[in-house]
Amino acid sequence: MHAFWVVAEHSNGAVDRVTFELLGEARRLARESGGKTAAVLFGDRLEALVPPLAHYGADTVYTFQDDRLARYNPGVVVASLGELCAAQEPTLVLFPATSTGNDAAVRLSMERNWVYAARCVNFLRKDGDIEMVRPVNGQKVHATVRGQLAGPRLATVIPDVIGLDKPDPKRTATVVACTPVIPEETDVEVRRFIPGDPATIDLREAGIIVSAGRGVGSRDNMQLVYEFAAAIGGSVGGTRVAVDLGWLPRERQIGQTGKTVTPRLYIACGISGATQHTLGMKDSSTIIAINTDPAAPIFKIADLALETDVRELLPTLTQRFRQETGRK
Amino acid sequence: MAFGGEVFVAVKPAVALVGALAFENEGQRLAPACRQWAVNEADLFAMEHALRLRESGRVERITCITAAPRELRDFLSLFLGMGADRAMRIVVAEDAGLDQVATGTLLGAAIRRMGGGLVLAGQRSDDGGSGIVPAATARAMGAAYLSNASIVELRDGQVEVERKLEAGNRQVWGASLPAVVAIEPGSIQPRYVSVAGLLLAQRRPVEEISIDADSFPGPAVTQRLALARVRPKKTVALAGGAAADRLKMMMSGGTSGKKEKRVLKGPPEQLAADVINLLRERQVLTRDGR
Repeated sequence: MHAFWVVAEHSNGAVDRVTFELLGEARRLARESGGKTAAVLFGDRLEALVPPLAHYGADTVYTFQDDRLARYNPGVVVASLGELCAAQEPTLVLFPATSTGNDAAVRLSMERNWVYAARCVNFLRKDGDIEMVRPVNGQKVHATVRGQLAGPRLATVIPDVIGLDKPDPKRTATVVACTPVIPEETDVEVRRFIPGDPATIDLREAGIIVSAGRGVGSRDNMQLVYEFAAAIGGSVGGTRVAVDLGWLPRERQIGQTGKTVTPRLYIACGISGATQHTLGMKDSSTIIAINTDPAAPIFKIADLALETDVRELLPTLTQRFRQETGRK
Repeated sequence: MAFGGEVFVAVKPAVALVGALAFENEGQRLAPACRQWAVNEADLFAMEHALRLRESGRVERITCITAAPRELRDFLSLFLGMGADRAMRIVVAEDAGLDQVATGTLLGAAIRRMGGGLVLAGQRSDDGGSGIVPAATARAMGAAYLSNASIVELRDGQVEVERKLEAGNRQVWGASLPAVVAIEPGSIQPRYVSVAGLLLAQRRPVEEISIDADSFPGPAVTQRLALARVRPKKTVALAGGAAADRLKMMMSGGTSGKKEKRVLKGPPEQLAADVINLLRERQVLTRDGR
């Protein structure tokens, strides 16, 4: 029977969104071929992560729980995953195309001599095998890759390309607790983890951006934006107008003459949505726009448009998110 | 392993597209008329890191090395112009059609033969973008592989890198030599090479070496190329909104390239609740608030 696996990623006690996207794809492939899906979890505290994986499509969840796996450890992950794959022989193993997923997939491919395709966007079933579609040459060409070696196919998938399936809260998964394989010798020593600070990181790396425009009203009101960003764990950016008015430093400018960003959440506060600005943020996964003008162009690209004064809404939003996240 | 003071920079030329796209050999490769060779941007960052290591006194000599046909010999001039001490080309037939694993294996075999201890390479190329070459180089050398490096330190026969992760996070890895470090572009600015410097570099010799590739494994994959087709992205039907809109969403199979827009008005408390609901639906904000 075909089996389609997803190597799950999680942070701060929650499964990352891209993992759910991959589970949807694994489930589609399993449905088409009469196969099964599984998720593989590595970490130090995993119990709470299993139910959401089941809701999004995992039939089985293999867990590797160990204190040494609190952060990605290439030696342990690759050795453990290699043993499990060799024993269970899945058809396809999907990894998120993140720094961790890319590293684990290519290491496993090199160690086991298994076929690997990076940054895939689609998977096709053909002649009993899986073909992996990946963009090359600046996204203008798609290469359909077919493996010539035995063993599971390994693939990384670009986040936010496939989209989410609707979760089924009634689904459950069989949990298989596995013992991590700790190699006697590892060539890479994991020394320390340095967490990023949303307040100071480069906007191009930010997952959540709260962006300010002229509608914020004054430099004093920027405090509302900063407080909301702190409550939601986001970074602060802004339009050229906000930068020119001296409300934000130049490196925080987003748009044609600033930075191009693709966060998973972009909250536009008092921004009308001039083309010069939207060019730099239109590919954000989810866009929420707050503006008093119902005809503001930003509403055309927003997933959620809130027709209200940002100065009235932000304090309430900040308070609600502080309750939700426990951040100050 | 004792470090001989020489760092290798693995260079992989990339294919850039020009003009109308066309394919040959039943889509196995791009037609020559629509491709031209270009410098791989990530390799320039690897070179810059090597230069900074030399300037800090940690490295004595920089060798840039590529596995490419003769027509790409001059490619290495840019790296010589940036400051490399020597350039080497592994002789490859023009119709060799090396895949990423073969390219990395060739580079690794050559560097291993020369006793190389530290190799810097671009994390991924501009054309293939798979990141296989540095990992395959490490495997062929029997060396440690350290990926996504944005800072490289070298001391006491050990290399330490700061890896660039998502959301501004960083992770520090260390390894004994030999090691292959894949450099993530963007952390530093590669230096500019003047036209005069480039012209001078073009007069410098490029050493050629041969590697017996007969014993190398065959290609791990075959591939068909075609014009890119955008895959429609799934969107989840939002809770709330008009029943007719929700039905329309379901009738479309729940897949749409267009965003479902909602314009909401109301008291701040209600709008805040709507925001939180949307973020939960999209898994941007999970139940425990993160």
